[in-house]
Parts: sequence; C-alpha cells; structure tokens
Amino acid sequence: MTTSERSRARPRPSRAKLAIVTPWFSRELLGGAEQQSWQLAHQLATRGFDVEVLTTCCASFNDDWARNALPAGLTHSGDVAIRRFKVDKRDRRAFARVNAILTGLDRTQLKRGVSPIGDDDARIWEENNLNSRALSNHLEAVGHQFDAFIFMPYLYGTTLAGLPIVAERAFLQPCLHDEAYAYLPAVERVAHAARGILFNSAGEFELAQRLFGPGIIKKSAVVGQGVEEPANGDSPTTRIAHLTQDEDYVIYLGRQDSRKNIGLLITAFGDFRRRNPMSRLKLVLAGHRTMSFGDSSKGIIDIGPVSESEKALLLAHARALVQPSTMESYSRVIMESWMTGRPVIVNEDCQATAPQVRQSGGGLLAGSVSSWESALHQIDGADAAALDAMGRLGRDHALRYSSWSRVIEEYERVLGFARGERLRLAPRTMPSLHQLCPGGATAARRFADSLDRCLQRERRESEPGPNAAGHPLESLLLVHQVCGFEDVTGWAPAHPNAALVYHAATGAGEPDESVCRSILSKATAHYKCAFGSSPRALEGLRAAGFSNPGLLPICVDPREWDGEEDRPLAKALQDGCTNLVYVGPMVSMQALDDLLTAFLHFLTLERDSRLALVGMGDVDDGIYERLQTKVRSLDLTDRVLVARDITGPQLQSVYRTAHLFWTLDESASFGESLLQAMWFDVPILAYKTPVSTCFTGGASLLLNNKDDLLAVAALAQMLVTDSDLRAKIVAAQRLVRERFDAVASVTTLLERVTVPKETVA
Amino acid sequence: MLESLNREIDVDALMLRLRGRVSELEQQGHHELLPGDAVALRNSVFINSLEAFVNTADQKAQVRAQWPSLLSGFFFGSPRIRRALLDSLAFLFKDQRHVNQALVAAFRESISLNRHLIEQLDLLRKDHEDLKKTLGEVSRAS
Repeated sequence: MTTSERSRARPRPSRAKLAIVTPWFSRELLGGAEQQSWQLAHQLATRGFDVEVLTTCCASFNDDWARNALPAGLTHSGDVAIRRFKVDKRDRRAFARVNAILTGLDRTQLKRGVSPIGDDDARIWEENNLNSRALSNHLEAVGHQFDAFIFMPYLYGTTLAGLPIVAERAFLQPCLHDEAYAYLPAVERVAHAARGILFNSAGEFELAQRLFGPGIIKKSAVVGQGVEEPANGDSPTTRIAHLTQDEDYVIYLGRQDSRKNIGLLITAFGDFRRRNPMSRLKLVLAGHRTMSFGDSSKGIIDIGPVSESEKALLLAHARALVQPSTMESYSRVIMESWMTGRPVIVNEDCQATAPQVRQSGGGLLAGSVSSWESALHQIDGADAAALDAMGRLGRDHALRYSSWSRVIEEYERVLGFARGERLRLAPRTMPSLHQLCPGGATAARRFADSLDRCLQRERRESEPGPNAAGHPLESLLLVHQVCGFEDVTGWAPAHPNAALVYHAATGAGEPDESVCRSILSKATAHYKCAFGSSPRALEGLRAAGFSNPGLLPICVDPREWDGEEDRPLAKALQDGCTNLVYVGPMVSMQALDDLLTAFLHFLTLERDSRLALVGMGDVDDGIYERLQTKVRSLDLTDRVLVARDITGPQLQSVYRTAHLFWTLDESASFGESLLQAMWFDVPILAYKTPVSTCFTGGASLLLNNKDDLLAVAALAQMLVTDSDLRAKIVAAQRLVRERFDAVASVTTLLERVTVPKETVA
Repeated sequence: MLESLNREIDVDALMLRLRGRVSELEQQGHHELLPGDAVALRNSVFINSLEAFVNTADQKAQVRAQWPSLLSGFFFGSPRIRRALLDSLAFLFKDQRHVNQALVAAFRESISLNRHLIEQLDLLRKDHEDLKKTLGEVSRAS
C-alpha cells in the first residue's frame, strides 16, 4: 500500500495533525528561524492543532552538526510534542571548503537558475550538511499520519532531504535570503517539490519569484511572522546598567557576522565619529560572535549575547535599532524594536525589511557608507519627540502585521489547503472534456491542449472527498472552428453539452471572412453557447449571430512552470547582455523585418544586446527559413537567436532572463505569449492591435505608429534601463494577468456551458 | 506614437523624454549614420562597436597619473610613495605603452579603411541594382 493509499484509507482525525521539521529546537535559541519555529509550534498548539516537532539531537547552529548533544526520543513542551533524531556523521572539512567558496561569492556573481558551484561541490555540500537519516526514515514510515508538514528553514539537510519524502503534504517555510545557498539546485528542487510555500514577508516572496520563477506563485502565501512584545520588567543587570542610564546609543541586535553586513555599520560609525568628534552617540553590539568588533576608543561597545529581559531594556533605552543586513527574510528584531516604540535604520537594499520601513515610516533607510553615516547623524541630532514619533509609526505597523492571532489565521487558511479544502471549482468533480479540432490547425490544437491540461490539473488538485457533489455536467464537448480551415461545426453529434470555440484568422493568407461567417451563421442553431479565443474571434461570432459569446483566451497557467528551467541555457543567457525577446507566431515577415531593423538601431544604443526570436503557435515554415537566412546574411547569428518548438524549461530560461518582451507584429494571435511574459514579469512593448490591447489591458506600452524605428529602439532602451518605469509596468501587468487566470477561464467555461441555451439574435 | 492606460505612467512626459532622446541621438549623428537599409545599418553598428573597443583600449593605454581608489591603507597612504610607485610603473611599462599605442593607431587606420570599403561596396551595390534595372527595361523594350 502506498503512502497516499494509506492516507485515503484511514479515518480523518478530529484535530489536524501538523509536524514542524527543523534542525534545532529549543526555547533558548536566539536565531530568527529558531525563535520562529519555537513560537509557531506553541501558537499552533494553543489554537488546537496537534503539533509535533521533528528535529535533531544537535543543540544549535553554533554546535558541531555531527554531535548528538541532546537525547533522541520524544519529549513535550506544553502541548507540543518534540521528537529528536540522531544526526549523521559528516566530513566537516569538505563541507567547510565548499561553504567557504559559497560565502566568499559576491552577490554580483550569483545568477538565477545557475548553480554558483560545480555539481561535485554541490553534492559535497548536500551530503555533508546537517543530515539525519533517522529523521528521513521516520518521515517515510509515519508521513501518512500527518495532515501537513512545515519544513523550515530552507538550507539544511532536514529540509533538503526530508521534504521530497512527504512532498504531497509538505509546506516549505524557507526564511529565504538573497545569498549563494539560495541559488543551489537542491534548494530550487525542494521549492518546486513542495505542495506550498509560506513566506514571512512580501519581500521574501518577491525574492523567491525571482529565484524560482512564476511556477511557485499559485502555491505560495505570505503568512507573516508573529512577534511577541519584549518583556520589560526586570531591573538592569550591572553590565548594561551604565548603558541604559548614562549613554546615548544605537543598538545592533543579532549575530555579529560579516554575512550580516556588520562591516558596513562599523565603517559608517567610524566615519560618523571622525566627522562628529563631540557626539556622545555610541554603537552597542549585542549578540553571538566569533570575533569582537568592539572598540571603546571609537565608541563601539560589544556586550555579546544578552538575555530576553536585557534585550528589552537595551531596546527601550536606545535611540534606534540598526540593521545593516541585506540577507533578511523578516528581521524579528525590527518588529521588537517597533513594539518597544523605537525607530530603526535598515539597509535599503534588503528586499524584506526596506519595504516595511517605507510603508510604515518607522525609521530611516541607508545603503552606502555615506548614507549610513548621514542616517546616524540624523538619529544623533533628532530630539526625543521626533524619535518617539517615528517609533510610534513603527509600533502601529508592528501591531497590525505581527500579531500572532492574525498570523495563525493565515496559517489556518493556508494549511486548510492540505486538508482537502483547495477546491476552487469544488466541491464538485470535474466533467470529462472532449475536443474536436480541424486537421492542421496547430494553434487551435495548442489551445485545446492547454485547456485540457488546465482542467486535468484542477481535477487533480480538487481531490474530491466522499461528500463531493458531481458536476451538473458529466461531459463537455468543445468544437474548435478555425477561420480558413474546414467546417467542423457539423461534426458534433447530438451532444447535450457541446460548445463552439471560434479562432479567428491570425494573419496568414487572410482567409475569406465571409466564408467563416457563413459557417458560423449555420452553427448558431446547433450550439448551446460559443466562445471566441480572441477579441477578433468574438467580433466574428457576434457578426454571425451569436448574441452573447464569451471570451475564452488560451489557458496560461503558471503552475506549468513549477519545475526547473534549462540551467545551461539560463547560464548562457546571463552573460551580461541585455536580452530582448519575442515569442509567438511567425506569420508576418514584415513584422519580423521591422523588429530586426529596430534591434539594429537598439544595438547602436546598447552594444551588448541580444534578440531572441522564438516561434510558438502558428509558424510559417517559409517565413521561418527566410528569417534565418536574413539573420545569417546580416552576420547577426551571435546577436539574434532564432528558434522554434523549444521545450518548457528552455522557454522558462528565455523568459526568466529577458529584459523586455518586444513585438511589432500587426497580426492577430491568441496573445498566449503576452500572457506568458506578464507571468514572468517581463515588461511588454508591443504594436497596438486588438489582441495586444485586450491581453495587456493597457498595463504595457503600446505603439500606434512604428514608422520611426530609431524612436522605437530608443523607447525600448528606456524600458530596459529605467527601473522605475519597468516597476510601474510590471506592477500593472501583475493585475492584468490575474484577469486571464487559467482557473478563472475554466470556471467561466463551465459556468457558461451550464446555463440554458443561448438565444440567437 | 505611444499609448498606455497604465495610470502610473505619464505618457506625455514619457513622449517628451523620448523626443528629447531621439533629438539627442540625431545631434550625435545617429540619423546620418543609420540609413534605412538593414545591411548598411548592421555594418555601421559593427564599425561603431569596433570604434568603441579601440577608444577603451586607447584610454587604458595612457600613463596612469591617479592612484586607484581601491588601493588604500597605511603603506599606500603617503603621497610620496604613491608618486614613486606611479613613476616606476610608467617607466617599467614604457615599451609596452608604445606597442599599445601603435596597435591602437593601426586599428584606427583599419577601421577607417573598413568604413571606406563599406561605402565603396554600397555604391557598387547601388550601381549593380541600377544596371540590373536598366537591363531589365532594355530587355522588356526589345
């Protein structure tokens, strides 16, 4: 009996049983992920979940990862069961060598979809990580007894080796940072294997989309992180009494580690003191360290690790908290500082913390050494009222977004998915789908296939339980009529639930519209309802007499890309060149000629550029050959990539490395590639047609005139280089793509087919 | 020329920027450099690209007179030491500098020759097309 069979066979327990899998687990551990897992386990247990923590006998991150310092077996902390497993032996030296390479890499050397180290080193890193074979065996044996697993954080063997074993019900809480580990193939594998991904902040989710592509979007949720208000009741201990009573200081709380960018803070503070010798401001460093950065002559006081009550007191008396790290997925100390009413200075390059400071107004942002120096100067010069006002704004934000009750509600909503509530079209079984297409209509065939895949996926994910109701339709027949192809509208036998999908001409040869119209007019009597695959098709249906046809665009479902991309291609395309991309039909040589000439103009503006022309859907063999010949004759083979029928992973690499989606095509097409580009957050610059207007929804830039190709190229350059303009377009495109969501399309289809027969005008 | 319904984008301001950019490019000679013919356009792109490489090489072939900002610290802090090191470098690489300058000059000549040849080729191509046209007319007339 397989795991899933066993799971179906057993009766569902009254309480949801959850497991949190984490490498270390103890109340005393001060790391962000460690504190999060401790508090999360107890909060979930308080809310009625049956929580078991699966962890190792290793004591902490700072201990030897091969030493079983704690006893194996089951213990309890309140309502939380803690089961510890022995860790495996490891080659510490080999791991340290590879780890040194990874930590030594500059961020500019990291490329998405490309492993920062060779395959052999990646294997050494995985095999000699913190691993527990006993824990993996336990997951295999009793995995079916749990409703859901939460694996956290992402970079240890407990997650990398454990998650794939129970992938069907595994939720990854990665606590992701923009660091070399996040680019390793093993990490991307678990991100794609997980059933869901939970993020601490919107910034962390953004980073994950950049690293793993749009395939993870539909299964991800930003749940946030609960933070308890620091308990401030004790009297100060002797070692911090003089600080809290006599000194003006800013405080750094956390591991004193170069990876946390502490060097930047030390340099900036040194510069600040040099330029402001009369200032009384001190920098207090509190937290674990392997070497001390303290220097009393420069006003830097290192007090090492502190207790929770000391932390609360230090925060309460600080002028501000400083957080120079760019590798944060959340930063609990910022929330704690805000809860205490103190402002913060954070790194403007950190994707997780900077947006929160911008949103709340609870502090200052700084990036370079000079801007950090100026921020410190601002905090030093500000009066108490100004600092309190900033702190209050931060406190309001922290109370709104970091309360445990709100966070646990989010977990409940998301983990509900694992208990079979992920039924967007449910609780109903999906009808079986049959489709008819004319022979040779490639684009219509693609359309039909995409719809079929989408319906199958919904059927798989809806997992109807014993009480699920059957759909009112048992089966559905879709007949695809394509303008310019044989009449298939009469092929439908007397099927009670047949619907017509009409595909207008895409520009190739421009077939006689009147013939198409007469075919459609005859069909009005036989079909319950009709859909147009594009705005032009919709017009055609209306003209033929269908009174209320629906728009049914091709299903572009980002879940199709929930897998790894083509790594060699991704590496080749990230060579420093600007990548301009066209993906779509190749039925108009004029449009491709215009694009090539505009690209030549672009090359005069941006020398290191590349144009990728990828045929998809309708590709005319003659035009494809002419295009290849033209590129060869212009000796542009190293600057222009021409391809067709590429694989899914290859297409992912093309989109994920693209800086701009560029089309000057005037023909009508399904708009599939426009929707794809929007899912990959590639800004679109397109010629204005009914298709581009409809599918980009006005979010992108549309050209209504392409006579001056130098101006078109200059506009493309602006879109590539102006990050503000790009961000505005991408933000609007994100809203538009939701309108054409694949699930929404299928829902529309089913809803319309179940309504009574349409009245023919 | 440009449309967008995106409320965050000021299309008029963007068009103004675009016109400014195009006129700036035209002032830099882009208009004359970029004829409509794709082959000639491609050739000018590559010649410009070669020229840009040579300009970079020429720039880097000059005697270094300024201390690199990345090299600092106690030993390199003294202006005297910096001056002495820069002078030594200039002396040590004197011959190499002459070789570099000669190569840069040779490349410039080569680019100029290429440009001239491309122009000639273009003229020949046009003559060839005119001749083909005339021959076609003659054969049709006869």
